[in-house]
Amino acid sequence: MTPPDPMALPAPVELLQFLFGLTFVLHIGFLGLLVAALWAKAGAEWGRRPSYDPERLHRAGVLGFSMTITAGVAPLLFVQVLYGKSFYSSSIKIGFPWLAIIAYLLIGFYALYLSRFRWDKAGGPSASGKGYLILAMLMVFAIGFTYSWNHLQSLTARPWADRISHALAARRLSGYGGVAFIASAAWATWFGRLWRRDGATPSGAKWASLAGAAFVLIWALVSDFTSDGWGQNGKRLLLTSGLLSIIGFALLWARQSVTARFIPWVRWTSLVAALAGALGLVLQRESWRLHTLSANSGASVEPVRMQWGPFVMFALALVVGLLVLAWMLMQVRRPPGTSSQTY
Amino acid sequence: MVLRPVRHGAVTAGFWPGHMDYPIFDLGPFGPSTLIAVVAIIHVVIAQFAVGFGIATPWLEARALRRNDTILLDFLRRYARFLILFSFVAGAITGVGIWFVVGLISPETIALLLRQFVWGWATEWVFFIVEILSGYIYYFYWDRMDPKTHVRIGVIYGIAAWGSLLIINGILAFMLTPGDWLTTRSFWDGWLNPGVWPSLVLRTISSLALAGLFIAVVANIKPGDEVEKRRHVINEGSIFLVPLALMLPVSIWFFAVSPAPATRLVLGGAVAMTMFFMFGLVASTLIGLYAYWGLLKNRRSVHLETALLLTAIALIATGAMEYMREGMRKPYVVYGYMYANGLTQAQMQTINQSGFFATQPVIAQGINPDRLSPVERGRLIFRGQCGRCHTIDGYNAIRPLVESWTPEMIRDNTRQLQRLRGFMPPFAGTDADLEDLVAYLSTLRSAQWSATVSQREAGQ
Repeated sequence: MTPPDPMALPAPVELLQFLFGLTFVLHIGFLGLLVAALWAKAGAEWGRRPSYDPERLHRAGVLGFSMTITAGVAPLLFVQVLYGKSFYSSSIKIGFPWLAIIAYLLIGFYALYLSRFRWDKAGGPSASGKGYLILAMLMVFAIGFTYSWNHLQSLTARPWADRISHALAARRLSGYGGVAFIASAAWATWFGRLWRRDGATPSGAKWASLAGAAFVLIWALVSDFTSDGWGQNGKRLLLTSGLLSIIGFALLWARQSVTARFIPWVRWTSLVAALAGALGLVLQRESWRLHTLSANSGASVEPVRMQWGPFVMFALALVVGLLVLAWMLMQVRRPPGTSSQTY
Repeated sequence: MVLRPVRHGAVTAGFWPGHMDYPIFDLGPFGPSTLIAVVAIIHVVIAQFAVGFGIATPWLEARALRRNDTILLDFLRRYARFLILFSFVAGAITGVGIWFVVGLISPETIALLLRQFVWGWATEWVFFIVEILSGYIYYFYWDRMDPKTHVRIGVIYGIAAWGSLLIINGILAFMLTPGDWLTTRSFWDGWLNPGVWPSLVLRTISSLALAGLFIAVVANIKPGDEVEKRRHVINEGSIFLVPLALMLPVSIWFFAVSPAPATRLVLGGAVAMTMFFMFGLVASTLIGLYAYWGLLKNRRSVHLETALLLTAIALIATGAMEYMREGMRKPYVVYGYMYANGLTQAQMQTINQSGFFATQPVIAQGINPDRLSPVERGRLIFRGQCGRCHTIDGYNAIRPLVESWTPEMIRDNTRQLQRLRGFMPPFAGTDADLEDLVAYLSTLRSAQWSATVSQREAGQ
């Protein structure tokens, strides 16, 4: 008897695409936390009256960095299962720059820690602290750029085609970066007051909203979308995200005259904007993958051999994991003790 | 420089078109396997420490709380920082790094593992998320929540860390002992393969030992701590080194379920592997025995230099064991199914019948292989079949191996690689492909040797 094909898809394409989309949105969400922590740290380093709590801000930054990496593992997993052939080819094609992501991650992460150490040592802003922070920001940018480059490269009809230009990758990064800024504004409006001693929403939230809206709207207007439902819905979602962010910016700008009960509207607006933007990116990317890759190495033409038992194991682990996370967060919300912990 | 293949000819029906339908990542003299080994060993050490920490620290914390042991509690708080700075940064990133490196060097392997075990990887990802968040809460909320809850968070961290080891260990063990998977292709047969439990015990022992050794190091690096305090902490942590003494029986168990040819390679078949294994085994056992008699029973202490020396020996032993585990799989990456060059046994047969270039589109873009010289075609065959393990002049270089050989010797040896060198895959291709490879390898001979060989041939 011939054994079954070991390279058959382990689940229907639609399920894998759904999980990719879900986990990608999660990844973008945590990237928003990292970006928010970075610009808030910049505010603390360069601001004239820094009122941030450095320890809380630092925790937000390292948690954002860690969770962005961890959450980013899952979409990478599902992309490789669905589009491995084009993904590996494009990774090999850009070879060393792709490998350099490991170095970018290490340097960026430790630069974040070093900026915190410098703050403690100097008792506030310092030239070297600023330098480390800029280095961390550059590394985050380099990682995003390289991923964008790989993604675009993987969409070429021939996996071994010449490298696509840096300019194209940079252009694509505007959409990704724009949504990350919008997500950062959402984090800041919801939790930013916890990073400050005065309990105010960071003023950077409105600028992040504006910058994110600008990038996303430009991206939605100048980039290509497939003519199918996915592509067009992706475009609509990105436009919605940009417009909601502008509304969020306006509300934050006027927040001095806005009553306190209006603040939740600002938060929900920014949250919906972030979700719409992330979902818009997912639809745009997937529609292009299906459009471009189906003729060469698309997953939609491959045999499927559903692994029900292992899938149930994953689903159970996910439910239990979420319950455990919820329980842990409840413990964290309890009134804190008196001691503080610093590095 | 990246080779640019282009599709040429028809892909044989039933032939998985993914194989070698990729550009080739050229690392030059460094060699692909070196890169994998470096990243993997760094990651394994850090990841195993994270697992050991997750088991050791909550256990020690609960013990310290029960006995109101403030010395140990103060130390553990300091020790937790080590986890955050070391494991959560370098450990997590090198884990992703292994994935990147294997994707560049052996995409067929990672594609197979991901498709077979995608729900295992996804489950591991859930463990990983819980591990990271619980680890941060455990560290950042020390003294900021009631002690019992804090210990529970630590236990959650330990379960998540060990759970991720449980998942990944099954997949790694599968590569050496796929068992019934070879006929059923079942996820469970692959994951719960014959080697999964001994491997898990070995890795758990190693994880606990690394946590115990790092306790000894960290206890020694705080200036001003009294000798008695240090001794107390080191003695408390030494219990996690004792299981190292079990390495011999667990290794016997591991070899009992491993394929016989792989076991023979380690137990004398390949000198380097035998030496690595013996070093790992002896070093681990001795550290375990020393921990029991010296630290646990007689309550002795170790200075920083000794702690670092023991840790260095343990790290080398861990690396040696990992090297052995990787090495004993040869000539396969998935034992009995996929060779180290990414070809499955079925693909080998297809290539033997149809030829390398009929099934492998590894040719420079826009160039018909029929128009290439034999040497150029041979170079492509070398890169496609041999380049995963061999460089030209760098790590595991091919030139020193063939420069003194005549073309006849190259031909004869290549024809029966699997017989001459059990850890090498057989050559795949037709006689014409073999001649192309011989033509290419002959160009690697040094001028001096070529002249000598030519003279001899002229004399004949």
